[in-house]
Amino acid sequence: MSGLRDELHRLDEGVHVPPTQAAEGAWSTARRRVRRRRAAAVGGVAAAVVAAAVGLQSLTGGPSEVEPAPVPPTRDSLAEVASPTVEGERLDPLLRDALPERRGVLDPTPLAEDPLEGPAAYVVGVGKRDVWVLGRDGHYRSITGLRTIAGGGHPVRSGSVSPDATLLALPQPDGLVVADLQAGEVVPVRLGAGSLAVTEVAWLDADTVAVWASSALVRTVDITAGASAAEMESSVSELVGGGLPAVDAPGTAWFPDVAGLVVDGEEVLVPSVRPQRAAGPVPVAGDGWVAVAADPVEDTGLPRGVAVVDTASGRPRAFLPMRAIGSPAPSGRAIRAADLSPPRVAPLAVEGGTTLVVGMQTTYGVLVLRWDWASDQLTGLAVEDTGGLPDGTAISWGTGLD
Amino acid sequence: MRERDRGSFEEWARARQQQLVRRAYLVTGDHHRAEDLVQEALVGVAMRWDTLRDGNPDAWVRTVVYRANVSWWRRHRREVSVDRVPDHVGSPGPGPARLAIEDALQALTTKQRATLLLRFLEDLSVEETAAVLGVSTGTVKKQTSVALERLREHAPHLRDLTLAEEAR
Repeated sequence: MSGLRDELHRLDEGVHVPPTQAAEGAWSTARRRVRRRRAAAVGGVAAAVVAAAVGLQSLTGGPSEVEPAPVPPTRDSLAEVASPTVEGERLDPLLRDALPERRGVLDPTPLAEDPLEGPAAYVVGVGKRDVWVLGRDGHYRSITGLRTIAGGGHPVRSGSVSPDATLLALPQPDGLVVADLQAGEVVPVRLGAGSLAVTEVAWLDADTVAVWASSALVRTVDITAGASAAEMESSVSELVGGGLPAVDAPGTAWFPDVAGLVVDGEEVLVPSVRPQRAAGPVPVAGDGWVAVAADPVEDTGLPRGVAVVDTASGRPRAFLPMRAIGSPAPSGRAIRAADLSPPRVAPLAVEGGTTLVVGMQTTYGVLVLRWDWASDQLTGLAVEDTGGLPDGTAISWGTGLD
Repeated sequence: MRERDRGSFEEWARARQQQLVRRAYLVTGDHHRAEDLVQEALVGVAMRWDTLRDGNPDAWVRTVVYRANVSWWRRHRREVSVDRVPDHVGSPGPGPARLAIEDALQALTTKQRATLLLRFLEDLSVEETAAVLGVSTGTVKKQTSVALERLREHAPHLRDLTLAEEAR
């Protein structure tokens, strides 16, 4: 008879965990911390020296010297940009100061009683049957009455927020539901008898949702705000052939089943969003570039993050690593993402020029950030304390930021 | 930290990272937190690589991961929902026996699970387990006994195994 030890060792050898890159960047982070500690120690002494010098200077009336401003880094290749740009043991102090205070107690009211007046800042799906929607006013609304996938075995899965953040599409066992966040209505859309359980949905444009079942892209649904279930069901189109171009940038297409982008007919192997899965956040397009979530596969040597790709050359131009911001520390708060939650980082919108809105699910919380990838300037727009959310939470990214 | 040591550290870390995360997952029951804990521990190892490289960096990581997980749980125990979603959903190919013991482990408290894994997976003595967790040997014995009892409740087919271990 084998012992408990043997059972545990078999479990240890057989347990499945996704490929990790936990070692990447550890040395660099450690080196920065050592330097920072040394600097802090030296700084204490230096502060005393400076204070003494200033006092002396004020007495003597001598001129003061001004430190030159640091030059922002320029980034031309992915190899150069892969290192973190913002460091932090919990959260970078500059970013922390820029972020609003984290919200604590969540007390949602039904969406129908309190529809959103404007677009949602971002949307969070919670629990097995409810979705909570966070408005830009900082208050949550609840959407109830959802059915679970696969007979209740899984929690509600992550949905997809329309480009203008007024509609939320969520996968359901026999189709999807579309929540009109401003009207407070939820419309079920059934895909017909014989359909497989829908696992993922993603908005392709302002009116179209792509639907996946069992990792296969199966349908598109034409959806417009205010449409009835019957209208949406009559617009369900079966897909034939390959993927769907989803990025509206000249010469560029995103094929949901391809690990990368297609630029002028050539596939660009950007480490892509969970390439083993069908759906992921739809890339967002700028002028001559697109931004994609990068959740690299093994051997790419890159962390998770957002990559900016030049649409003319296909070359990466900037990279925002997720680990640069989130707390790697056990002191952070983590939520257990649902089975098929979206990646923990996603480009959400282009604000103009080279500025992106990026969402990140970190151990510190859910962050919405503004990132100017050309100057590598990063500021915070919103932060959600995920410690207040229950296990099984699924994040649905959306913006609607002006 | 000496830059010339970077290569040896990264070689060790890359070789060990997958197993470390796998172990941390058994400890935490959460892929994300497991990776976070290991990443933080590896940063700590890098900062001490001068001394740890000739010692036992694996043991150092183990201690950090176990202690950090217990600390995390203490801070967040009021926020953890009972509506837990097993991370193994969708994982390829686990047999029913493996799932049973995996689920049974997740039914233990954080400290019970840590104690059990240290004793029977890491093969540490009661004294060594106490040192890792920073508790007394009496606490380790008590936690071990309770954990085995709960394993028997949640996985009846393990009853013979756990009784045998308890008798050792």
